[in-house]
Amino acid sequence: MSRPRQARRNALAGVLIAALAALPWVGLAGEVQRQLADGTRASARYSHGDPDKISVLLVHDFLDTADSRLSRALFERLERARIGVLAPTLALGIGARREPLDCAALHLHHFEQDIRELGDWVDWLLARGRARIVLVGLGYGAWQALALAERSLSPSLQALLMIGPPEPPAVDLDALHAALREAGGGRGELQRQALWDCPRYVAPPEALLSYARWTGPRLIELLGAAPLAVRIIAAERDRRLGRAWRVRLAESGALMQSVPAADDFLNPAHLEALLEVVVAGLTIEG
Amino acid sequence: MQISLARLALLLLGLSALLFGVLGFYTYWQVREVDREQNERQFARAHAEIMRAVDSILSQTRAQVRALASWDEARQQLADPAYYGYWRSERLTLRLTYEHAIGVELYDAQGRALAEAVAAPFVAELRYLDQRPLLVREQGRDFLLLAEPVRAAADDGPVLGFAVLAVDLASALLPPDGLRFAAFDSRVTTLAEQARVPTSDVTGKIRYHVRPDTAALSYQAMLRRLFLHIAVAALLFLGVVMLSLERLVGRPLVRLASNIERLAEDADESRPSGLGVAFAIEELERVRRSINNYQSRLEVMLRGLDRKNRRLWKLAHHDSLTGCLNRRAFEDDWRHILELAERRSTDVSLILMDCNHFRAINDTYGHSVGDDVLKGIAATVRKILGRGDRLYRIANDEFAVIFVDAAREHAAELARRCLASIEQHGFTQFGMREPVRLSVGIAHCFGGDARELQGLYRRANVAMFRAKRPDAPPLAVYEPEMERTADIALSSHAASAVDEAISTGGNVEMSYQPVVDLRSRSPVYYEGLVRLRAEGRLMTPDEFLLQVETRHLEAEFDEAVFAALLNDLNVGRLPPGLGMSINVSGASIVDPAIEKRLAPFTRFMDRHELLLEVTETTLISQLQLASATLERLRHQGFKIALDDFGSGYSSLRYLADMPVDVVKFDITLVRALCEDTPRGRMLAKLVGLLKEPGYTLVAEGLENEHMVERTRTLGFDYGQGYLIGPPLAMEAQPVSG
Repeated sequence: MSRPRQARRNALAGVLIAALAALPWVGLAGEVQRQLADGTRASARYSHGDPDKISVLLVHDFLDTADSRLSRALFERLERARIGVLAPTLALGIGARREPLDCAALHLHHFEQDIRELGDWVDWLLARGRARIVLVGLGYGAWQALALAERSLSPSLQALLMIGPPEPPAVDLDALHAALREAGGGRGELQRQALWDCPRYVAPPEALLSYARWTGPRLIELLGAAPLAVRIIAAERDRRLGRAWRVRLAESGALMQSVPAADDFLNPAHLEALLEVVVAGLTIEG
Repeated sequence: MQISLARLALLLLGLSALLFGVLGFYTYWQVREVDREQNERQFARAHAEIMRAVDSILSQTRAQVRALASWDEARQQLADPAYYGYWRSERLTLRLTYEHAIGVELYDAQGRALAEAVAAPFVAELRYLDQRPLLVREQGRDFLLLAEPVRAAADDGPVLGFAVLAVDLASALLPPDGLRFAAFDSRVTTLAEQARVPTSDVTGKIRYHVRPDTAALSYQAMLRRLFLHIAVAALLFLGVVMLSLERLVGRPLVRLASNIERLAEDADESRPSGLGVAFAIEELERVRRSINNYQSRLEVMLRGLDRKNRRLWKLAHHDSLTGCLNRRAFEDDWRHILELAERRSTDVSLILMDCNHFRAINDTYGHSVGDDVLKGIAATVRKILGRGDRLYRIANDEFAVIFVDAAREHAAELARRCLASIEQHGFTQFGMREPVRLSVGIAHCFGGDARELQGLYRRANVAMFRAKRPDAPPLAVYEPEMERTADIALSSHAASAVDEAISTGGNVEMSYQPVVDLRSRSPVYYEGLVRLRAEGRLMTPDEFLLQVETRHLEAEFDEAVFAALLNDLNVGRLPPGLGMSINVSGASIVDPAIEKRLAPFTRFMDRHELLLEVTETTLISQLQLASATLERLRHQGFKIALDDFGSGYSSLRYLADMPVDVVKFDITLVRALCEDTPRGRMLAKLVGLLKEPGYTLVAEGLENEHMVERTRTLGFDYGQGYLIGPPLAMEAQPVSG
């Protein structure tokens, strides 16, 4: 056998060995699709990370998906940090949802459904042996993560990182209640009100009310009674976080950490700073 | 075969038009072929364009319906359609990005529409067929319906339901920038109403028509227009050429031809004055100038000819001596009168005037005097005639006047006045001692036709001959009884006999009258007297000599007589020793050929004495020439006899000047000699007088013994007459004792 032929064989063997070495990592990272308890098909991005480290359940912002830019950036950063991360896309009543749901879309989902779905994903993580879980919530997703933490009794939930939790706008709850009453046992007429980031949110009364009832004071109250360590990371110039709201957040007892000069984490200049703060926070909480 | 220039040009124009017609048809045929090929290409392009358009529509529709089917909210509605109506109107419609999509409906997995009621072209429940792409015609509109399954997951999983998209086919087939090759009417498919067919043969169902290729149409129209313009231009050009040819060449040629034809006409008034307007064609202009120049020269020449003609006519129709119209003019006028008489009844009177003894006057006093006499007669008569009367000199001394539509007495009156004037005219100034007298004959033809008129001249001539008779008055008006004596002189019978004698001599027969010695009464010689045989009888000189003289055929007639005499001499008809006398006319005597004609007689002189008898009157003319000729003949051996002595004017003078051997006394003198009268005694003295120089005297007309005795007594040598012997053929002569 000639030498060049032997050399080619050796090179091919090297490539095969390298591919086999990388196989475990390939099998432990990617999209996860599963059917939830209510039969809804849901999906999530998942990175196994270092088993010895904490795992992160990343909750996206309201009506968003795990493929949002900020979610993806955080996911990838944590993945690079060998931190296991699960970023589910909440179904919002839509099986295999892939796109953010428009505010003007028909919203048939309930707040509690979201919390239950997140709880399913926590269970999924636990089933994967991830004993230490840190919840990371983006925007309104931070409040849903807080609600999850408040309802879950699992000791595996060790901390909560709330990134820019906004103050929900005021909602005419009376009207919603009236509509709900009017609907009797039915689903009632569709309501159109400003809800969270949506200036005109369309939903049946009960569905709308499931979110609207989480008013600012109630959330601050929930925050104050959080059963786990809460760290709030806010951009210094985030318009959704007014001064008063910042004060009230700070007064809740949660650890406030501000990213200087940042206004929008979608700005690449501030995104990296946020990511560093988050990783640092996770390191601290982990 | 001949063809006019205009017709030739017209023929060329027609042929050109035919050629252009053929070319036009060929061009039209070619353009039609190109048009057909272009249409086929255009149809193929249109078909391909429709195919592309349909593919594009299907592609865009499919993309649209797939986008809808994979939309999260569609799955939401299929999972919970409680608020589907709201969602469809508020969300689904907004989701339609395909501009030609007119609506979309969701159906559950069993094919039931989520909406309580759906409008056409949607159906409440999808069948298997409806899950495929369909062409639908509903309510007069054509739609494309495309169904896409909505699955639980984006790309797989169980089918949750169907999204059905409806597209307005008519608007979809019309791209924003329009179709280039195809076009549609109000409907774009061939589908019947409510038809629902799969789109597998969608292009076969599309109803379109091929948009005409405007560039090709423009090109073809331009070609047709170009050809039309060329054809029109060519025809116009040919028309202009034809008109130009006709105007610049044809008309000038016709004018030239007309001018030349008019040149050939005789009438002066139709003779062209030349072509005035110049021609545009240089060569034709040269021809025109040449013709004009030729015409000018011809005009000058014709004017000269006219003058000469007038002069010649005048010369030809006038007598240069007297200034009267001549015989030619007389004949022309007479012809005109005959033509006039053929058209209408015409009264014509003809006067013929003849100068008595004019030849003698001429011979006696010379031609100059004779001419003066004629001029005097003409001048005298012209004075008598009216202004419009025409006087003709139709012969030597014969004049004529014609009166048309004049009274019968008018001619006679004028004639009488003419006679009187002539009688009083002073002819003595010319040295004449005798009076000049005219004999006038008049004939009338009143109301007669042309045939009757044709005999008028002869009748006037008959009358004139009557007037010439010694015992007749000088003016005679024709009467029918005059014909008896006039027939002799004027008969055509005599004229024919004379003509035959001169031309062949076949009818000339000689009679011989003996001339005897009065003492012995034996013949001395015979006088040859000519007779003409005609129509079985012999004509005597009285019957034809007048013809000879009036037609001035004396020399020719003498030659015929000489031939007859020579023949008799040759055959020995005349007994040897006897002489022969030959009558020779005055005209023959002065004829230069007389000696040659008489030369054959000289060979008979040894057997016969030959006398040439010259009539006294005939000798008068050209006396010197005649005298010289006779002198030469006398030297040749001929004896010269002066015939009819005493019947003329100047007998004694002739005797004095002429070489005469024998003097033959005229019968009138012989008769007078025989009378015991002063005249008889004077003549007896004359006989004695003539005897002295030695003339041989012959007495003519001896009719009885008394005359024989008397003449013999008086000294005559010879005698001649019926008593002695009439003229007979030589064979009939009595044998002398």
